[in-house]
Amino acid sequence: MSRLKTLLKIAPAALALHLLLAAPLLHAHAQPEGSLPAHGSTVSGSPNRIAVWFDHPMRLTLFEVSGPRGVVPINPAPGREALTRFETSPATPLGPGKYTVRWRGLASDGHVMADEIYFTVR
Amino acid sequence: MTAVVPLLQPLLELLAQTDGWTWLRVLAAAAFYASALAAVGGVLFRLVFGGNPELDRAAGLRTLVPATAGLALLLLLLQWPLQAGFLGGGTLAAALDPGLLALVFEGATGQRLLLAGSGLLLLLGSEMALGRGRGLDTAASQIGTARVLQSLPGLLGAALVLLSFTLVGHSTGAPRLLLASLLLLHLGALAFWVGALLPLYRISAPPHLSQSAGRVLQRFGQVAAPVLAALIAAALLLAWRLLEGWSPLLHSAYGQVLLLKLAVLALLLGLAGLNRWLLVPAFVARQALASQRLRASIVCEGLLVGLILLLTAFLTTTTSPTG
Repeated sequence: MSRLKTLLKIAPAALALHLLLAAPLLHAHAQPEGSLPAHGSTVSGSPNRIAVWFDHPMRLTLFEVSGPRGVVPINPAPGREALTRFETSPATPLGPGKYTVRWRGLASDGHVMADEIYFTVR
Repeated sequence: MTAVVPLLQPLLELLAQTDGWTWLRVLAAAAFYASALAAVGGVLFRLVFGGNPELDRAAGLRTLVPATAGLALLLLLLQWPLQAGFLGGGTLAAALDPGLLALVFEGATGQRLLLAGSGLLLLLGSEMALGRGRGLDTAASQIGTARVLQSLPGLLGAALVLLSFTLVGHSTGAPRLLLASLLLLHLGALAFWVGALLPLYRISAPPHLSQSAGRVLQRFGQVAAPVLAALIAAALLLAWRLLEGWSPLLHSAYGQVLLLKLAVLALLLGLAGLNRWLLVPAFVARQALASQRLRASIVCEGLLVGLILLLTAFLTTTTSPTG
């Protein structure tokens, strides 16, 4: 019983040391590098593609396009795999108006990232 | 005034973008920082200033460390679904989504959760072991070496908790070793300070302990000076490396919140100076109302530290040095 107690006492420390040694030393703090359409831009007609890209891999968990008529269905939706570029298309053409692209994701350094991009369709 | 508002534009925009779910994350993070640092600091306080059984009892370390370590553990676990919820758009359904929870756990956040959790469990376990051995070891615990040996599991737990902060966030960039070392130095010094507030507040109360409490208060003032210097130096170096210079201090939201932190820190240093050179000597001299004034000052210090931790949590949750 005393051996079990000893084991229970050192187990958290052993696990913790293992994690510390096994953890990668460099974690990338991903930053958005650009988008399509560009933030604040005005485009003539509905864009065929909507994209964002990053300097380091990002796991996107939310990618939402909304406009004058609410949330716009997109295809494909993000699949949560780590990527440096995500590209999608609106399921139906976008009418004139102001649109917001809202995304959230997890960078490999554990930092939760979020951003909003605005563009206008003429 | 008209010139100030445009200057504060980055901070005002950041505040406007911060939704309710994010504020929940900020509050949970701030509470976690406070409780984790208090638990770590309690261990350090006992190591440096413990050994007088009557004072140790008055300081309440026997309940402070496990209580704060337990609270920190709960808040650490709470951050997990809060982060998953944010990633899913800020809803309860997202917070409980198994896929999002697994995603958060897989990355550096999960590693931090396990490392900090292990450290906090060690802190809890070591306090329970100390509690059981207390009757037999009271005499031995007054001897420095024995006290150090008794504190080893708690110190290891404290080290793991501090190390866990270097696994996630802004200090994980290059140069990693330098940034992580500076962060460890900064947090260790801060924990020393935060962990001392409640014990010092408690030992300043009982009149029959004023002589021995006075000695501890004076020693704390002497030890705290180089600790504070290390805290500030590490913070400034870290800020300079992360911001890549000083101009972002004025022109980025991150820099502006950092400036607010520095302003609160300046107030805190003023209070610390007041304690060291006015209030503690008055307490040692047993002047009238000295105990009440010192305790009031310590409460104010605690509030300012709480504000600093809230600003830190806001920084680490909502923005980054590069904006």
